Amino acid sequence: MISIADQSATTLVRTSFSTVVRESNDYACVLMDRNGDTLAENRGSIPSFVGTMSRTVKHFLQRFPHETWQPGDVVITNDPWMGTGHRPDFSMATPVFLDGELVAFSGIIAHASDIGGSIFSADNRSVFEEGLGVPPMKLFSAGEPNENLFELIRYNVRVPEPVIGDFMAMVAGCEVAGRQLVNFMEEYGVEMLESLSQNIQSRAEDVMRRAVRNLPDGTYSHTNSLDGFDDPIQIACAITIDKDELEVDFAGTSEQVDQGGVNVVYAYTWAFTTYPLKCVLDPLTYRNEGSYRPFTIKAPEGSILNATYPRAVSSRHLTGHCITAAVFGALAPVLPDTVLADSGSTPQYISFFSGVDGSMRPFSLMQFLSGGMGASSTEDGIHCCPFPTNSIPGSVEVSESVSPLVFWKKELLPDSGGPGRYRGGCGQDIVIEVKSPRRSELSVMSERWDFPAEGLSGGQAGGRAGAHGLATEPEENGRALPAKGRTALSPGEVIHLVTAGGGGYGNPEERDLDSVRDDLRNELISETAAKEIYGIDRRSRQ
Amino acid sequence: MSEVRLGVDVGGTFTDFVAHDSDTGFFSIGKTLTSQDDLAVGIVRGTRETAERSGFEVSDISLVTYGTTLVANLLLERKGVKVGLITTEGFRDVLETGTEQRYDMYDLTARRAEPLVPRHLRRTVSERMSFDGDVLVPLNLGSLDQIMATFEKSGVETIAVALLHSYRNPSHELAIRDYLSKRHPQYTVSLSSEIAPEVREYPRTSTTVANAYVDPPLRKHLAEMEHGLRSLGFGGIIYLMLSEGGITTLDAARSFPVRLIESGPAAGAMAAAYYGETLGYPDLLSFDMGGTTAKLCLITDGSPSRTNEFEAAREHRFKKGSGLTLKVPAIDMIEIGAGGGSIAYIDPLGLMKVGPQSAGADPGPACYGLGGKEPTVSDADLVLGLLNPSYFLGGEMSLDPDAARTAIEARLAAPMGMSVTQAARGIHEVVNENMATAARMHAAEQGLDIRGSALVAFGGAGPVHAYGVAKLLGLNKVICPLGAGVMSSLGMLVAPKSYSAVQSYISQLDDVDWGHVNDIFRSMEATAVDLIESAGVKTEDIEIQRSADMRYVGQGFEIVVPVPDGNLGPASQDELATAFDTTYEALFGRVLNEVPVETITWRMTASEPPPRPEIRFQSARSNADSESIKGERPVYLTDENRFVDCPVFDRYSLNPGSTVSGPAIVEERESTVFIGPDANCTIDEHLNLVMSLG
Repeated sequence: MISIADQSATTLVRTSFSTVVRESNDYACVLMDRNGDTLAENRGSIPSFVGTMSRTVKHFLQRFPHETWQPGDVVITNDPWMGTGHRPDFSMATPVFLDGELVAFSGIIAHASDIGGSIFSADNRSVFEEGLGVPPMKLFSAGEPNENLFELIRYNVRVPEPVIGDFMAMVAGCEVAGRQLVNFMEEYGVEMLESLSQNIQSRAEDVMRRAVRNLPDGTYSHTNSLDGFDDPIQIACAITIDKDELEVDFAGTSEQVDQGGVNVVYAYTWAFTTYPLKCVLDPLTYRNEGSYRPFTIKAPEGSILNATYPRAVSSRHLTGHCITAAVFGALAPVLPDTVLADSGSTPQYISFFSGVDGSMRPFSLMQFLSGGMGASSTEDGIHCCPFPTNSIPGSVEVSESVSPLVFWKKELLPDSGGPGRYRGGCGQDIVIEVKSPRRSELSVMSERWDFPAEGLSGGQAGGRAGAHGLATEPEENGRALPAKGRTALSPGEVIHLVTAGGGGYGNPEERDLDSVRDDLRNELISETAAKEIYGIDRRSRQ
Repeated sequence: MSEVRLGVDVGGTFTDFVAHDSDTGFFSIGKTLTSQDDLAVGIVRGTRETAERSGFEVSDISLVTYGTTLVANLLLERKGVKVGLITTEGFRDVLETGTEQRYDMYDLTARRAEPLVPRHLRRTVSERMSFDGDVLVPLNLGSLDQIMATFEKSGVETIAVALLHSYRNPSHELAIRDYLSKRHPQYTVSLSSEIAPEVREYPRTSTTVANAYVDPPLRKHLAEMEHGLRSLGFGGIIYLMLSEGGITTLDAARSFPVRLIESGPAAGAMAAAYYGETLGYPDLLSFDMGGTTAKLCLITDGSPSRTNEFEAAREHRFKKGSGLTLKVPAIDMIEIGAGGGSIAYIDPLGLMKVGPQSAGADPGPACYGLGGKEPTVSDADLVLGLLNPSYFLGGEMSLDPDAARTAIEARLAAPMGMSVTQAARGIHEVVNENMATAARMHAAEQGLDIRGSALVAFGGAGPVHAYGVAKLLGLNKVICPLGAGVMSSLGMLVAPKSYSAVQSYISQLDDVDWGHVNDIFRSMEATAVDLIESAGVKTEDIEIQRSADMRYVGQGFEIVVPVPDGNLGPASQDELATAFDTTYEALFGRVLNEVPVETITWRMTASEPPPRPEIRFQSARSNADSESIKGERPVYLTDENRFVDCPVFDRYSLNPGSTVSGPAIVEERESTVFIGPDANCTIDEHLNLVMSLG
């Protein structure tokens, strides 16, 4: 069954136009029973969408009761509160019929190439600025396209062909899964499907309960600080273990904000709270809803982790990804050998360029930039690696062939990995020239300028992130760019982006000397750091 | 004078030989232990022994075709040489950061493969090309001397050069090689613009580095082997088997050693294609199940499916993404951790799982009696009566059924509360399901429906599991060729001489500079034709196939579209657009009319028609006159949920035209064929066993 969802995913990814889908695994394919309860999910996707499809289909069923569905129907929405937390994500479901009866749903969530509005920016004031909103509506009715809806979407987005192409890729993915599901049910029956699914889920639940029971009862808390939009944000996380139940409470977390799309809807908070829990408690079981039954996730309404309509939410990842670090921080006392130090790649650094190329053709290019991962109690952090998401920038050569950008540098940044017995992964140093004859626009969505990724157990923080325009004359200073917001770039302007390093683990003075020497030889750390932080000279003499 | 052609396949445990005598048409087989320390020694010894045993002189051999695991093993075991890598300033870490992606979302311990070149041996030069090949920054050759001094001090043995956009304009890479060959002639140099001239810096760099990494040891080995064979009096030509399923000269192989990465397995698929074609089954699934892994390959209309990217040396439980990305033309095989030695266990959910961990050859499955405690697929097969404890490897080794039962009881049956037989059945079914699922996914990715295809089974465990896998996949024919253990070396003798080349040139279809494309093809084809002609193929026999990687503008994945022969021009635009639509629709079920199409990479393969010698095995039917039924033994039949006494046949005494009705067992030296209750077999004139499923 999982392989059916995987096949659906393969179809989607290979036909998708959205860089976000194909390079970033920003999608999920889900099989559900007739009530919208999950039967199986594909394996490869990012955590953002865990558990959301089922809730979305239940919203669909309120709008379109069971008896109204027909073969060939396709229903979609991008409502952040019914779906996944921001408008570029479309959730789609198609009904699966066996002998004329609605028996299941096949669903896909994917990030669209565009949804209009000023979606790729972190300075909006409400969801109305964040592109076209589509409530649950039929994209196809009994196989017939809803031309009005198609027309409306085409009219509202910057690049209609890829957006419609993405929808078609999603429809194709749903169809593939639906067909396979029918084959399966014809062979084994509907009951078999449901009992199999329940069986797998209850086994996954048992495994998770066993893992939770192994932790000592008690409440463990951690608060981490983020730059935020105007003011710093606190994520307060209290985890209570009570036998085989685990509750996460975000009481005390900062209020939602009026400007800046860093507000997070509850579904996204849920996804990025359960994700790190699964990583440390039961990473091996294929994800399914059973794994999450022992968890209760509470976030006060109106807090930044349970934002209310119509707050701006498009850059919710800047806050949401950091929940992972708060959860690891809280669990560090009970799982010191399993959690990671905070990662510089948390949250994802996004830069979005748009304008015209040398032939005056419009271009836009999204670059997901990775920082370094946090170290663990046994290994250095991985350099330049997305976490907790898995979005990647794609090849520089391809980016240059589809835009007027020239990348002058994209290299690991020495000394950015947080010092420790195990060193955090390094962030990156990136220099980009925009060779456009006109002004271009750059939108930066980043964190970690003021609050770097913290170390763990005596490890030190990783390097900070940043962004600035490079000076055109050597004696001038470069100009500052905003961490979250839009800037006009002059023709040929060169900008410099820096991603944060991961936190270190353990006291750097305890780092194995050969590793320090390797780092020095590989120019991952400077001589100063080797001497002053790792004490290489003093320790070599001992 | 009779002319003998020899196929040699060096595997992990055995080196296999197949000799074909053009006069008699007979094939003969040889097998010798692989000498891990010096592969050439084993080859030379085995060649001499095979010649002696088969009654020909080494000097009668006109051609040796050689498939090797050397390149794959050097990469897997990290035993290549120290490489110095030169890249564009600002891009020192492309090799290390790769795609940046994590290949496992939940496993925090999953790490990238360690780069083949550490950071201190990755050096940059000031230079820069634009994506359309203009020089943005001229090359600073002056900085090379200092880089080379560092390399020399660090013991670097060979150099790789991978500059940005060199696929579009190689002049800087060529200038670096010229400079190095004058100033530092002791180093061989691998250029990314020659090894893998394709867009995307990471796979191109990774391929070039892997090429350099295996280059010196491969050269040394090939020289030793050639010398060894020559000293036996061999006066013929040596060819090497490429990953793409063609063979090439020693010289060409030395220029692109990384293309030998799948040398041996590719030959197996070529042999399967040969059997399919000669027996009238052009569409089939090649199924090679050995001790550690199973390799599956789809063959459509006589040709194995091919890919242009291959991942070598997966470190983390065969996980996709945990190995090294290589841009090499290769036969598209899925390899999964499912073999006779695959270990069965209970996962945290309480479900039975099999593989990818393997007991290997030492200690091996519990039934080998070498101290293995974990239950494996072979243990299950033995308990189910599929294997004969006293006729394993033709009786050279005996198996211990009690040890198998004990392992299954302790690790699976007792904890799961089931009988040993039920647990063994579970292992057999789970591993079959794993392989069938992999085959289905592979077919789905290519938009193919394999129901109705035939299965060609080989490898030690292939014929044992072929029936079960064929049932799961809805296949109705299973072919078990004689000599299941030497299929790869046989493949060496049925593979065509061929050469592939590639060149990226990115352009929207309505904007293509056709003159440039014609130049690309002319240059690639001239090199290819020269090479194949020099191997003795007549010009008129050379067939050229062109293709292009194309996509809709804005997509991230390309599909391979056939490109017409001859001079291309503006008129080709519509033809290519139509070809793209047809291919796209076949893969994804629909086309998009409003989106422009772009071309990314142009490809060409030149080859001769594959040789089709008739197969007659010498001395294979050693027991031709004896009784073909050896006896009877209880075999567990799933449908009946019980053991049923089944006849056991001796493969070597089955004559052409004999028929065997299932349920039955047919034993041969290297494998055992299980014939299910609803299947019937005939032995064809070439002694192949052809099973028809009910």
